[in-house]
Amino acid sequence: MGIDLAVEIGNLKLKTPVLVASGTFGYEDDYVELIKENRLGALVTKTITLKPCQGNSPPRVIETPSGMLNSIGLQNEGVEIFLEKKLPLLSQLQIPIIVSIAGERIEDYGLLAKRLDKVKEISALEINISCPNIESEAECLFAQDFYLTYGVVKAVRESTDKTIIAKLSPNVTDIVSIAQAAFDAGAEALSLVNTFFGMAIDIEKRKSKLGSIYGGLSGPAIKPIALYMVYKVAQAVKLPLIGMGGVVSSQDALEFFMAGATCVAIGTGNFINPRIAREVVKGIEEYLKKNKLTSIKELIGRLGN
Amino acid sequence: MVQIKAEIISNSEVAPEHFKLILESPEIAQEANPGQFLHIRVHEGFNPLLRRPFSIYRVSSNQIEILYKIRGKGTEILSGRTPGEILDVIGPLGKGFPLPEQQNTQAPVTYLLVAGGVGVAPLLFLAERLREVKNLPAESGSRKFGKKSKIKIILLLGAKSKDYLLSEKEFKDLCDEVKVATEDGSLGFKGLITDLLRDLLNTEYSLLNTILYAAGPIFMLQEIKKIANIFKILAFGSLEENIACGLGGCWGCVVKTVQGYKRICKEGPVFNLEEVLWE
Repeated sequence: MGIDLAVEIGNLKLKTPVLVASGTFGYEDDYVELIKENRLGALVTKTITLKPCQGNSPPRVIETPSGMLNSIGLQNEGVEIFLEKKLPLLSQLQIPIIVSIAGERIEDYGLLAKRLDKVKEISALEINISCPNIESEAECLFAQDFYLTYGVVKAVRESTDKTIIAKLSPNVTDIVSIAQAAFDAGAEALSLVNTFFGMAIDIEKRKSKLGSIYGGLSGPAIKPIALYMVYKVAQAVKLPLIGMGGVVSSQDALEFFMAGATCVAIGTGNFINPRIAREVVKGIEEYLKKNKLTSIKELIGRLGN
Repeated sequence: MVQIKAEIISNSEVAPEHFKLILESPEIAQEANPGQFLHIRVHEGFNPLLRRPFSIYRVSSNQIEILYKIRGKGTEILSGRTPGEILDVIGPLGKGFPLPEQQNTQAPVTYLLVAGGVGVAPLLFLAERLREVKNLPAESGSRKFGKKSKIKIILLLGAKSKDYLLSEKEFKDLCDEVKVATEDGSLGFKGLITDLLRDLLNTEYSLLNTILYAAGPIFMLQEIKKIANIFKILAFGSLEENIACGLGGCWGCVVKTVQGYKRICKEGPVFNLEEVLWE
């Protein structure tokens, strides 16, 4: 009997429940070649902004125990160059392309969504309101405020018919209320979670190891907390969830499914092994087979206790 | 560029805290150019998490060598790996040193290689390639670089003391001249390699058609940028940074240049030092 790994996110049909998280893969030919056989359900692009963005001062990446801090600062060439030069390459993968968008103001998100709305190679938009490394008009991350979250998602909702996914920050007191705001504003799915604010200090120089002082923590170090947040939101909000935060094995992915995620995204894991997704997909299949299950859907949100 | 499982042929200490690792990989060996690097997963675990980048030291038809210094947990684990074991390797990555035939400028005659500490690694591979260019018979190669050409390969080799000098013998077989500087004066010139470089440029060396290639610690490269600027010579340096993906995807390993932030793993690791703007 065949194993059915297909899942749906809004109008989007994914062949497998394993995605590549935003900002964790290259746009070059040889990279596309490397990940072609990964059996990805979809790919989420590096976040794009309306105008080119130069990014933060180096060092931008610091390794920490079982994790990694980054403060890239959304370096990208802007939406027009993206559409002209990067998107055609990604389309070769022949999987749904989800474009991650960010802005400094609520209007930026609406403008970006409008610009991308009619681009047929794009399957969905992920609204990044949780990047810890950029300045915005708000005094906090959009995703740290109920009203700002609602405002951004609403602006995107009114500008596109594509499936929209809100990517939330774990740096909040109550992630469920923020998830609710995104849902109320029309998000069709949620990505949980972006990176945690973090720091590392060089004690000899008495300076932060990151050029921009602090950054976002990712990798296996954050998995238990990310898993908890997926579980909490899954209990309260009836939206498909894309679980992420330290997925480096099928064991990790399966935990996210059981906690309530419809699919998982691999981020930092791609740096360790660009072909990690195929191992995760294979491991999920083997688990289903071993447990005599025919569909991944039989696992989603199924915790025995 | 490929991702492969490569067998360790040998992994031995060549100087205090310095190791040479030989891997079996015809795919990478045949494709590699001097200045490019390998991105190696040193173990199967997740702490340390990321791969480690290493300049390619030498290649043969089937094997590839790196020379590394123990700097932290990652390299310490690597130094404990033994022949017969398998490493997950991605490479060759990045853009290496521009070689003579790729130069658009007038034919250079002197290649000045400046190696500080473990910076010898990419420069040995470079010296081998330059030597091949130099040895090309006039009729089969470009006339400019034939036997009768005045190609000269000079190496300046720096270390903190003579015990830490790396690959001196290998370089002597390839270069027309090898000059040594040690910080403690235990061999050769006493002082920093950049002081020796400055002296030589002031006195002995013709600056006409000289290209400088450098690899070593950042303060050395910063000093070489200044020297190259004063003496108006073209200088390429191999830069180091924490590298996460190694594939140009994460934009983590950037350096500021006259054209904005560039990725060390993709547009580099070798840069024209004139373009680099250290902050």
